[in-house]
Amino acid sequence: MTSRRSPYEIYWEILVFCKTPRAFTAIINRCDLNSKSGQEYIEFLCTRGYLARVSEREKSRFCTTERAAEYLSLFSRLYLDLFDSVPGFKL
Amino acid sequence: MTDGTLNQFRNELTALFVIVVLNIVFGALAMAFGVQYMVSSVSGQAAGQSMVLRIVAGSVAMVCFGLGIAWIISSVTIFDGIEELREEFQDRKKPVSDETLTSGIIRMMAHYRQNTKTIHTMILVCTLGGFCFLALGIINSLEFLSISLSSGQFTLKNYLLIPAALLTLGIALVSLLSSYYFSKFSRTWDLRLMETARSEEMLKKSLGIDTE
Repeated sequence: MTSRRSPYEIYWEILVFCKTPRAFTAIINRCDLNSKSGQEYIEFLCTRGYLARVSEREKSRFCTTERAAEYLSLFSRLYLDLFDSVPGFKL
Repeated sequence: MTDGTLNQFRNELTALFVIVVLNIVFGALAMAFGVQYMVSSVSGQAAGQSMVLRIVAGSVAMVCFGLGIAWIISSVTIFDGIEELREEFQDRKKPVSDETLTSGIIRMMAHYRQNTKTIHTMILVCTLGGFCFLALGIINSLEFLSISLSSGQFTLKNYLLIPAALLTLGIALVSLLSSYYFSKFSRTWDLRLMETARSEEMLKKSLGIDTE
């Protein structure tokens, strides 16, 4: 079965959502992930230093770091460019 | 750059929305016409019909009925994702950020990936449906039309047939046009998917995956 979103799209969604600190449950709910795959994506982003674990009122949350800015802007540019590089669909 | 991209994205969503709504309406009409022609062919309600024409019209009508059902189901599946996305971007009065627009593009891409098979089915169903309705329109027009070869005169036996024949031909036309536009839409988004596959290399590098 074809996956609906690529891993890069999911990384982007997590990083954008975590610009303000978010709990694990909020991330998987918002990004429509199950807890196993959510854990894997978050773990990956944490090991790359794009996501940091922060403690807020004794609760663990995740927050996007400065390092992710380059990935976020590159991703947006590439996706917005799709509408310039490919002839559009019109009636 | 965002304004141009946003307008294009909005226009594409609206264009697809219009085609899908047209398909739902004409799919329902196709189903209704299929049933009507099927019943009238089987019961032989129309006077002066030859047996062969009745069997052919009945068979084509049965295919049209089936295609009408497939047509509606496929259209509704595509409609589901488009409607929400379109409303979200259509009603926005404030300037849209790059992030919001990118998020919309991701959702549209995910919707396309999920429904590629359905869209390809629609292209096939619309083409088949178009030709079936074209055949049905022609067959039923012939039943009421007599042509005198010696004098070269056409005689229409029942004027009431004209609206029905025109509607059938209209369904055929919409069906064939939908197939054309779905192919166009599919080509555009297939190209975009290919482009994203190419840009994945750059994203990999940005994430440092290649450096491992």
